[in-house]
Amino acid sequence: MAPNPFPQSPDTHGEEDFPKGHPGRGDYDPGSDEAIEWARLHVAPLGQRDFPIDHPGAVDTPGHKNAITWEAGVDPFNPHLEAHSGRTPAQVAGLRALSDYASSVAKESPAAMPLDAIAVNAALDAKRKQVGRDILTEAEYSEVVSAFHKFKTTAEASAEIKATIQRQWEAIELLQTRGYTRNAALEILGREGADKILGTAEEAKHPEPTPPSTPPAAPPVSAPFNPLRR
Amino acid sequence: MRVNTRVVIDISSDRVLERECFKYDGAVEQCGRALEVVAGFATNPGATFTALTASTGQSFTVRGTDLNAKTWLLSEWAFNATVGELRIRSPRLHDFFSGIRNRITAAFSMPPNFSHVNDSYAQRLYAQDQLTVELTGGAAELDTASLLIGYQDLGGIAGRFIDMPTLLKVGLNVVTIEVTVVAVTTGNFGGAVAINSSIDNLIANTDYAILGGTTDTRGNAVGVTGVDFGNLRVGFPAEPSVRNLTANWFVQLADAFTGAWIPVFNSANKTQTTVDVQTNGSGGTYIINLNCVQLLAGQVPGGATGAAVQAGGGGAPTSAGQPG
Repeated sequence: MAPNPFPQSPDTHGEEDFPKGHPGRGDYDPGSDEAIEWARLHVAPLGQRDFPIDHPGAVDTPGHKNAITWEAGVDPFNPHLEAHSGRTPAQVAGLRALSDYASSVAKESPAAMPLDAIAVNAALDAKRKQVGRDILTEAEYSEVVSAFHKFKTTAEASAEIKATIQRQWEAIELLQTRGYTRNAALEILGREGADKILGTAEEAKHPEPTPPSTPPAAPPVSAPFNPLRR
Repeated sequence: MRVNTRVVIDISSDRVLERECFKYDGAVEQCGRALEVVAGFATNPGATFTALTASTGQSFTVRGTDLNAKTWLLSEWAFNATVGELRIRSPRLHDFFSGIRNRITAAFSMPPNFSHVNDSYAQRLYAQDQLTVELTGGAAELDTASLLIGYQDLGGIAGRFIDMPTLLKVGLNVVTIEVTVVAVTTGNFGGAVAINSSIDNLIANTDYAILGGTTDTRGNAVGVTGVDFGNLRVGFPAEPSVRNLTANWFVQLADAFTGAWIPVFNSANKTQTTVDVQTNGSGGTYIINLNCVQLLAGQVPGGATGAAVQAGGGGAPTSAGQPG
């Protein structure tokens, strides 16, 4: 008999109470193919399965895709393509060769000398006003910036900076010996300055001598040491 | 003295009609800032801790002339082809024995430790302190690492940075700057190109905040250098697999440390604001996207230009605001 093409319409041959192979049917035959298939599909201990039999997400479904690793940028169904770009190996090799060549002739970035952004921008503004253009040429730009390079830090200035820092560390260490934490010492350093902290310490270490108002008392006379005395 | 500039430009002829610099009396805490990514490399370190050679013109000695000026190690990361360890030490920090030591997994260029993208805690640094930065890795490769150092007041630099509230207040439009950088194979920063080298779509004389950026190729660091940042190099990791974390790198920096760490440049300096890359011995071609926001004119100290251009530049007269 041909299957009913309109399953939602009334079955002219009578509605069955249970599908074929269902144990509730009056003609249930446990050994029949229908019953075995029904049991395969429907009999499983409660909570044992995550998905029904033959579900594409079930681990015992042939060809299931549960074991696929979804790496970032990689198409798991086309793992031969380059991650993130999807390029073929031939494309990747070609681009790599091109990039390698480009890298071999690329230039390192020039080392830029640190500048005061606000001061340089003000100077660049003055130059723009002078030439009446906003975009300066390379030469105009260099002319302005080179003026700031004249104030490059000298070796003497570097030595002076190092000496200042060293004095600040001495002040911090002094405060730490007096029980201050480093953070507290830094705060005091910011408020008082290294000179004052170290100056105070120098004064404490070498106080100016003051004339005694009264003659010093004579040292107490102790009894001579006697090892037999207990 | 802090200065700001006002410029009036005739839109039709694109000529500067009036320009004046004036003293800036705004928030001092947003002046004197500097941010610098310092990158270095170790050649064939293998299992031996090898001190990094800083990229050309850079140094792992902390800048500064005063211990009171607060300086921070905001982030650090490494790019190894082979798994290794990154170690940062100084007698001025916790200890000089092991210090800050982190495992570096292979081929992933993101912070293992100071990851402000998930909030963080910054290590205080001290002026003129010579940090010992070492790396282990492969025995036949060039491995690289970067430190991101923030200076709250670095004398003689005064870079232009804003914080999150300022960005929300003066932000107008989002724009992407795309450049192509060919990195060198020596471990130094290289391949510097102007920020307008690929697409010159920036509105004239306008401030732009750099929120962060993305790359399509893995490397150690992407750097952006310009006079607006005091000629220091600001930067972020060149990691293509976590674009959501690098795309707003500086925003997260400002957010995590509640400070002005979002760099701002003016398009008048676009030809002198450059983007480059530092990576290992493989070099490579990098397509870099910098995520920027156009800002209202005259709102960030030290800018080169003023309000006249804004009206003709497609921007709104006031900030576009943000979702509430």
